[in-house]
Amino acid sequence: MNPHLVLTEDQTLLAESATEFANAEAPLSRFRAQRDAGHTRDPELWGQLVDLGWGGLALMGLPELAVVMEVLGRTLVQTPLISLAASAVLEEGEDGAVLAFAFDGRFTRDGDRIHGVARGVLDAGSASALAVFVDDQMFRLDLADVNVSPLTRIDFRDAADIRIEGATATPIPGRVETWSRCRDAATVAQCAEMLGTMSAAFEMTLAYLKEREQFGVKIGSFQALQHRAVDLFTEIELSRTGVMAAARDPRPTTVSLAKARCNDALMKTCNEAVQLHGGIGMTDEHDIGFFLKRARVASRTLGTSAWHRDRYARERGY
Amino acid sequence: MLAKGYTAPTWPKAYGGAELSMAEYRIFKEELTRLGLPLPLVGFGLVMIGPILLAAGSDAQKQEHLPKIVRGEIRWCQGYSEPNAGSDLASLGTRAVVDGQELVVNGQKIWTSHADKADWIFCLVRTRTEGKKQAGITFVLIDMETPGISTRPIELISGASPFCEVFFEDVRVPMSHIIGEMHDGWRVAKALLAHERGMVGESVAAGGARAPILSTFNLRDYAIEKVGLSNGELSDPLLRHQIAQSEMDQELMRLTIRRANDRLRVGHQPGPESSIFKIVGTELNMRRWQLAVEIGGLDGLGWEGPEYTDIELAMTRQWLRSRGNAIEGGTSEVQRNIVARHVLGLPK
Repeated sequence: MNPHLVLTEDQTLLAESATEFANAEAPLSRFRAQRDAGHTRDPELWGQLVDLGWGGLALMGLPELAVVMEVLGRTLVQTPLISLAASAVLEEGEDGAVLAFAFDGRFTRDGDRIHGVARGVLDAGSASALAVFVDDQMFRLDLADVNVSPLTRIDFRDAADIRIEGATATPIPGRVETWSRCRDAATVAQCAEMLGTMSAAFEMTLAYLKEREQFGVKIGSFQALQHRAVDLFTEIELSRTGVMAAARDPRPTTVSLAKARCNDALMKTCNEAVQLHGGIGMTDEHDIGFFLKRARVASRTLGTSAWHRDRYARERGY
Repeated sequence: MLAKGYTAPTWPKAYGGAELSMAEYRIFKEELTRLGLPLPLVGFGLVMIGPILLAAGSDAQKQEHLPKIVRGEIRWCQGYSEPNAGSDLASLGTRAVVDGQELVVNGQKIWTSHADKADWIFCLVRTRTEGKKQAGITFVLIDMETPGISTRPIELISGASPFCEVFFEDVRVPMSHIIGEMHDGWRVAKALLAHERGMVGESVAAGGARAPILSTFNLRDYAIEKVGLSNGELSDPLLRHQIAQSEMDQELMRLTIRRANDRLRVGHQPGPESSIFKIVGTELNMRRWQLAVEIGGLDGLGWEGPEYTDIELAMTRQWLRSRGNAIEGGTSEVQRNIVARHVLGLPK
C-alpha cells in the first residue's frame, strides 16, 4: 500500500515555515532585482538557507523537499535545490556544496580521463564538483579541471555549457540505476518547483480576472474566460497529484507521468496567463512574463513530455 | 450482508442499515475490493432517493420506503430532466395541480434511467408558475403502477441504452407522497445533485461502465495485436505516444481520486480536486475509446455482422456510448460553470 497522498502535519508546518521565509527573504521582487543585475545565482540567499539547515532537506526525503520546492517555485527563487535532490541520492550536499549533474552530456572515456561536452548543465556555477556518466559508470570531476561557460538564459537561472578535454575523473560508486535515481530525484524536485510556479501564475491570473473591468463588467464574468480558468485549475490539480505521487514513490513510470504533466500544465498555464492579462501581460514591467520564461526552460529540463512518454511506454513494454 | 445491514452500510439500524461512519464505510469498500466482491446493493434507491428521504422525509415516508430499499425489493428511477429542461433544470414544466388530497400530474420526463423496469419514480414537478422558477417546484414520489404513466425506451447512437421517456397523463398522486414542503422541492433535490455529479465522475474516471465483453480490453494490448512491436516498441511511433499519454492520464486520474479519498480518510474536508472528476474523467474516457477505434482502423467501423469480431463491434459501440459521458449527469459546460463560480469564485 502506497503512503497517503496527503501532507502530514510536519510537512504542513514545513510548508508554512518555507512560506514565511519566502515572504520575508525571497519575494518576486528579489528575483526581479537579480534579473536586473544580470545575476543567475543568489549565493547570499543559498547561504541563509544552508545556515537554516535546509541543506539536509533532501536527506529528509523527497516529499519534504517537494513541499519546499513548491513554495520557492512560487516566487522563482534561485537555489541549487534541484541539484541538491540528485546529490542527496549520493548522500552529498548537506553542507550546501552540491554536485552539478551533466544529465544531457555526451562523453567518452580513456582510462580515468574524460572527453566530451554537455549543454546547459544546471547549477554548474554553484556546484562544488561535476558528476558525469560514461561507460555505465559515474564519475566526479573537479570543476576547475573542466571548461565552464556560464549561460544567460531566458529564466536567469544558473546553467552552463561544459567542455571536458581529458580531465582526470574519480569513479563514484554507482551504475546506471544510481544515475537514473539521481536524475529522477532531480526531476521530482523540478516538478514540485513547477507546481509552485504554475500555481502562482494561475493565482495572479485569477486575481486579474476578478479585478479587471471592460464593457462595464469584470472580465472574469465572461463564460469563455471562466472555462479557460477552470481548465487551468484542472491541469494544476492533476499536476499536484503527480508531484505528490512521484515524491512518495519515485519509480520511473510515476516520475515520468508527473514530469510530462507538469511540462504541459506549466506551459499551458503561463501561455494562458500572459494572454489573459492582455496588454500588460506582454510588458517587462509586469511579473507574469518571468513565469513564462521559467516555464519554457523548466519544461525543457530533465526530460520533455515526449521523452517521458517514450520512457513510460518502454517501461510498460510497448 | 442484509442481516448485518451491509446493503445500506451507512444508514441507521432502525431502517435496516449498519450505521457505519464514513471512515468505516471506506474500509468496508476497500475490503470488498480486496476480496474482489461487488457492492451488495447499488441503484438509485440506495444512492439517490434513500439519502434524500433520510434528510428530508417524514417518519412515515422513511418507514414505508427505506426498509424496502435496504432489502432490494423495489427499483427507483429519477424523474428530473425534461425535453425543455436539461442543463437549465429549474425551468422544468411537468405540471402538478392540487385536487383535494391529491396532486394531478401532467407532462413528460426524459433521460430516466431504467424507467421501464422501475417500481417507483422520484420526480420534480411544477406546482407554481409565478415567481422565481426554482421556488415553484415540488419533490414527489410516484408509484409507476399508477394509471396514466407510460414509458418509452430511447435508443442512443450506440444502438441501446438504459434511458427512457416517461409520460404522465392525469396521474393522481396522494399529497402524502410529497417530500419536504410544497414548492420547496428544488432545495430538496439540489442537495443531491452535486453528489450525483461526483459519483458519475468517479465511476467514469475509474474506468467507466463498459460492455462485459470489454472488461479486460486495454489500448496497449490491442495496439500490440493490431500494429505489432519492433525492437520492443510499437511499430507506429505516433500511436505509441498517444497510448502512453492516455495511460498516463488515466493513471493520474486514478491517483487523484485516491488523493481525494486519502484526504477524507485523515479527516480533512473534500478538497477542490473532487470538483474536476466529472470533467476530466469523462474526457479521458472519451479519448480512450476514440483512440481504440483509431487503432482498429477499418476494423473499428463495424455496426454488426460476422465480418467483425465481437470485441471490435462492442468497442465501436462503446466509443459511440462514451460520447454521452460529457453530457449525462451535468454537461462538461455546466460543470465548468459550477467550478468557475463555486471553486474559483469568479463573478456572475
